[in-house]
Amino acid sequence: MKNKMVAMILAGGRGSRLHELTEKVAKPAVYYGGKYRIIDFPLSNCANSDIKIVGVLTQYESVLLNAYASGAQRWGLDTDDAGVFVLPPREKLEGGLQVYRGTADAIAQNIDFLDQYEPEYVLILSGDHIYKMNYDLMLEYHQQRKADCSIAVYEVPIEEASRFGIMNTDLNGQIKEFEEKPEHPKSNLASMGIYIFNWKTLRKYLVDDMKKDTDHDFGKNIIPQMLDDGKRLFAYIYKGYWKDVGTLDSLWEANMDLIDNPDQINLNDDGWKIYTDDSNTPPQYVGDDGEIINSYVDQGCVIEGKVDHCVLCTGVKVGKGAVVKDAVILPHSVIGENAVVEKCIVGEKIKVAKGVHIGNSRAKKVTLYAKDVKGGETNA
Amino acid sequence: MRRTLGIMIFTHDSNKIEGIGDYVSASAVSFLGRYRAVDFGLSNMANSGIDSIQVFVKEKPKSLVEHLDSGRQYNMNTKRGGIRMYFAPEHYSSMTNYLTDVSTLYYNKIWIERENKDYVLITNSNMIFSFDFNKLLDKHKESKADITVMYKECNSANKQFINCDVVELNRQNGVKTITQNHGDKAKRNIMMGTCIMSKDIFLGMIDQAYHTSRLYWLRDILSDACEYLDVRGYKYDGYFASINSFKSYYDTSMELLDTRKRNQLLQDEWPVYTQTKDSAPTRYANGGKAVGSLVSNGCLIQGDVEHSIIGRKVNIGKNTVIKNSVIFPDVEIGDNVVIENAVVDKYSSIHKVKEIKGTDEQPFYVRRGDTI
Repeated sequence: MKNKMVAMILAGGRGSRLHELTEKVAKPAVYYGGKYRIIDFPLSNCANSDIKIVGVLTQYESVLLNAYASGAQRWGLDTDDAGVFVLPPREKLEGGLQVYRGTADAIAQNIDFLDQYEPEYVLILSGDHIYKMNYDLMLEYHQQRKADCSIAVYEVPIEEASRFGIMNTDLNGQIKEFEEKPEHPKSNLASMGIYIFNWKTLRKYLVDDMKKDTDHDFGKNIIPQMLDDGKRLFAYIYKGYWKDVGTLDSLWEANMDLIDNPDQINLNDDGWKIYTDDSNTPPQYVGDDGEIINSYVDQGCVIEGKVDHCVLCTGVKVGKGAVVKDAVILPHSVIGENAVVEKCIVGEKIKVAKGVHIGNSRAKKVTLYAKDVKGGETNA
Repeated sequence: MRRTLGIMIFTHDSNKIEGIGDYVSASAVSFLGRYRAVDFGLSNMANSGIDSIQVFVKEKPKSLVEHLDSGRQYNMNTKRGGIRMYFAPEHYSSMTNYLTDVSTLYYNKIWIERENKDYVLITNSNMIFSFDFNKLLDKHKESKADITVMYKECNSANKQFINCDVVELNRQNGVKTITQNHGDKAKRNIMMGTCIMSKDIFLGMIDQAYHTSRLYWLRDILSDACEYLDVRGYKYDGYFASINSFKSYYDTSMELLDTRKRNQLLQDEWPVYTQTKDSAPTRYANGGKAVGSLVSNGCLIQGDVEHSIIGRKVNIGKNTVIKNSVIFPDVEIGDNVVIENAVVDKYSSIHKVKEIKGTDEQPFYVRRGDTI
C-alpha cells in the first residue's frame, strides 16, 4: 500500500538529565502539562497533519512506552489504513539481535518496515519535544524546493546557539554547512531534529552508513555526508512554540509556560488538539477551604489546600492547610495536610507527609522529589 | 453476569426535566460537569461484567448517538459484546402517548430474543447510583423469585423523589403493589427503575403488556405482575438520586458537592466512564479561583466560582461570580457577571445581562444556545 509520507518517531533515549523521572520510563513517556505524555505531541501532530502510518522506535525502558504508543485509538490513528507501530530492536535472521546504535541505525534496522508502505517521503521526528507543528506544510516546502532533505529549524538567541546543531544557509534557505554545537556560531538556526527525506535517497545513505564505523547518527553522519555529496538540503523555519524538555529545569519551565505564556502554547485549541489517554476521573474538586489561583489543573484532583502557580496532573490531592507554590505535581501524588511545597517537581504517586516543607521558591534550580517524603524531613 | 443482557430503558413521560429536556433526551442530559446521566447506569453494567447492552431510545437521539459512539469508553466495544441502540417505532412518532418503553421494546423484540442470554437486567437512564449488579443477580438466584426489583428506603419522600415509583412490601420482601410517589408520605420505598429477571419472563411480560394495553409502561406491567408472579424487593443502601425534574436535577447536582455523598457515588475502584473530549486541563488566570466546586477540564477561570459545577470548556470572565450554579459544557460567561442559583444550558453565552439570580427553590434556567 502506497503512502505519501510515513513518520518515524525516535523514542529510544533515556533522557538521563531528567534523573529519577526516567528511571523506569523513557523520556517520551514523561508527563507534561497536567495530563499528557511528551510523545502525545509528535503523535498528535502526525494525526492532525493527516499522516496515517507512524513508527515509534523504542529502546530504553520501553515496556510502558510500547504499551502506551500501541494504543493508536488515543490519537485517532486506529483505522484500517492507519496505525502506530512500536518498533523496538528485534532479532533478525542475519545478524541476530542488535541494539539501535544511533538514530540513523534505528531507521536503518527498519528499512523493511518502511519499504512495505512504499513511502515517497519519510518524516523523522524526535519523541521528546513539546510543540505543535503541521508537518504537511513542511512537506509542501520540501516539495517546492525539490529538496532531498528538509530540516526544521528554530531561531534561537545567538548567544545560546552554541548549545545546538546549527544550520548555515544561503538566502534561499539551502543549507551550506552544518555545525554541531559550534563555539562561534555563524547563524542562529538550530536543528529541531525534524527531517523530511526522500525515502529512496535516505535509504541509500542508511545502507551505506550501516556498513561504516560511524556514530550512525543523523546529525553527525547522514546530514554531513549528504552535504558533502552536494545534495539539496533546506532549512524550514518553524516559528511556533518549541521546547526540548531535556532537563528538570526545562521541563518545569515548559510546564510554567502553560500558565505564564498561554498565548504561546495553547493546548485547548480545537483546531489542533493534543490527544492523550482519558483517565476516567471525576472533575477536579476544590474544597470549601481550598483555593486554586494562577494554575493549570487536571481532572481527578482534590484540592483542600492552597495552590498557586502550579501545574497539577491527574488525581493529585492537596490536603487541608497545605500550600503548594511554583510546583509541578505528577499524577496521583498526595500532598499531606499543612505541608509546604515550593518550586519543585514532585514525581508520580508520591506521598508528601503532613506538615513537611520541601523545595524553595527562591532557589535557582528546580528540585525533583521522586520518593515519598516522610514526616520530620524538611528540605527547604 | 456474562449470561445477563443489559437493557437501558428511557424514563416515563412524567419524569421530564423541564427546560433541559426540550433539547436532549433525559438520558443524555449533562451531569456533574463531564458526564451524561446515562453514563452511570452504563458504567454500572460494564463494571459488573455485563458484556452486551441494549439502549432503547425514544426521541432526540442525536446527543445520545454521538455520546455512546462505539461504546469503547465503557469497555464495551469487543467482539464478544457491545452497546447497541434501538429506536422507538417510527409509526408512532406523531402519537406520543403510544411512545412507551413497552411499545419500543415490543417493536424491537426480535433483537432481545436473538441474544443468547439467560437473564435481563433492566435499568433506567435517570437513576444515579453506583452498584455491582452481581449482588442483585446473586440475591435473585438465591431467592428463586421471578423478578427482583431494587429499591431505596427514603424518609423524606414528601420532599424528594416526587413522581418516582414506589413499592409496598410484605414482610418477606415480596412486592405487594407499585404506585407513584405524590409526596403525601415521608417514608417510602423508592423504586430505582432497576430489576432483574429471566429473559423468558421478560419477553412474556412485554407480549402480555402489549396485548393488555397499548399505552402500558413497564411499571404498569410490573405492577400487574405482582398479582401473578413472585416479585421481590432488593434493598439498596448506597447513594441514590433520581433526576426526573428540573428541581431534582438542580438539587442532586448541589447535593453532590458534598464530598461525603460524592465519594459514595464516585469511587476509585468503580469508575464512571464517559466520552473523552481531549480537553486540556483547566487554567486559572487573572485572579480567577474556585471554592467548594467541581470543575471540569478545558475551562478558563478568571472569575470566582463558589459552590458550583462547571462543565467542560467553559470560559468565565474577569470579576465574574458564579455561585450555587450548574454551568453546562461549552458556555461563555463574560466579565463582571453575577450568576447565582442558576442552571446555564450548553452553548449559551452570557455577556450583556450582568445579573442572573434564581433561588434555591426556583433556580434560574438559561436555555441551550441562548445569547443574553
